[in-house]
Amino acid sequence: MSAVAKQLFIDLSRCQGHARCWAFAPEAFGIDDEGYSYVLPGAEGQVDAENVRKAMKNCPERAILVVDTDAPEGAS
Amino acid sequence: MIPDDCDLVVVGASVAAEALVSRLRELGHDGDILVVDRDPRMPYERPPLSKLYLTRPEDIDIQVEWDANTPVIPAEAVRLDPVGRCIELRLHESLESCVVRYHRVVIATGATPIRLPLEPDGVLRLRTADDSTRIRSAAPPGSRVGIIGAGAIGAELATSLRHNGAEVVLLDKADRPLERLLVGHLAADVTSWLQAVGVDCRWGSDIQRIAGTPGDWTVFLGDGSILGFDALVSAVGARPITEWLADSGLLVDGQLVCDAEGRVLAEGEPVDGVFAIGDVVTRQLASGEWKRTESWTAAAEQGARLADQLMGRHLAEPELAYFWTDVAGRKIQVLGSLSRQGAIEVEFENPTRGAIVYRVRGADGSEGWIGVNAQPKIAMLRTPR
Repeated sequence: MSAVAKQLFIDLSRCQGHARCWAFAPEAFGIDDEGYSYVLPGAEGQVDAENVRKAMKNCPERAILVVDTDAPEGAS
Repeated sequence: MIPDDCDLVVVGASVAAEALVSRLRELGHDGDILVVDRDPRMPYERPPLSKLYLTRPEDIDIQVEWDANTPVIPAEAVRLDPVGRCIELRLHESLESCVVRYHRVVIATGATPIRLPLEPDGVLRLRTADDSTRIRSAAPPGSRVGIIGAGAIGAELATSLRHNGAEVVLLDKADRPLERLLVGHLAADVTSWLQAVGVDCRWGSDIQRIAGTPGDWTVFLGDGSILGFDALVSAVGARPITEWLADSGLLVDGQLVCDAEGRVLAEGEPVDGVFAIGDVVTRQLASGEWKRTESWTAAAEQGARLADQLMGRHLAEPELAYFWTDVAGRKIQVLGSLSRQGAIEVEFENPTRGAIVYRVRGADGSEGWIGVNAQPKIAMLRTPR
């Protein structure tokens, strides 16, 4: 059994390390040692959170995407 | 298609307008918003036009996600009557004119590249997506390209076209690159980075004459040298697009001026129902200083703040100014305000990553940072936690 779920995804070919996502939604995004952003483990499903939407709007590279994904069994 | 009356007309569909419209909709504005742009390909992102869109266009989608309830009409604004509260538009395809009465209008027409008086027709410039495509086609691998102006756009173009395999000469009248962005700091470093990727840097170039046609240009310099190019790109700066406001009564010495909240000023007083955001407008800052910025970040912030203001929301404190450029494989980020005579010192360094952050302190108390490949540090300075 699997269901299609919307998940946050950072396109690392676009991310240029402006870290706006981390500024607007630190509960959903982190930045690694190289300055690239990543979605915090467990935050992938926060596609509709206000801060996350602000982060998406404020990413100069539009690197934060919402993708359809087959959620693994038991995922919420 | 075009209404006779509209609650809000936004002239220009670039980043400032997108930030305005999306924030208005987010805050529940459900009135009619008419957005027009003379570039029928808008809305799209401009920052990639001198970077990834030149080197790997197939890998990037520059179109911007846009509010479905707010159409962008390809039309050029040709006249504004702030007293009668109406705007005249010329539709892109039919060239028909129409007049729209508005309750409020937001001017976001941006800026357009300056032409040097000695530039013949056929010298390329970068403003639109089509311009970027033209530059890419005119500068294939092995071609000789001259770029006039070593500001952020010129230096990015040089980096990208060199990456594509063109022979690039970067000319500037100043004796250093990125003069406006770095106000004189790190000139030797930036020059050496450009040279290391094979860009021929000609600072202090006094161009006397440009002869030829596309495919066969000759540039005569004041020192007697003569350079030949297949393509020439001019990137010497931009001026606000305000010609269409000539008889509006809104221009002060040819400039459109607004207060810190984006209200357009005429004779020092806000004009009812007229606002301006982005590169087109010169702002009077709280310090009393007048400033026009050409910055993605500033434009987006101005758009979002104007939306907050129009919806009666509390305005957040403005953020530190932020600008970035990608030159010769390095990400250069500037945060805050750099003073030309300011004292520069290394605040952080990680030589194995080539990362460095400089702090520049001015005698007037101004403070700014320059980061080179130091995104995490700049992020933390920008967003203290």
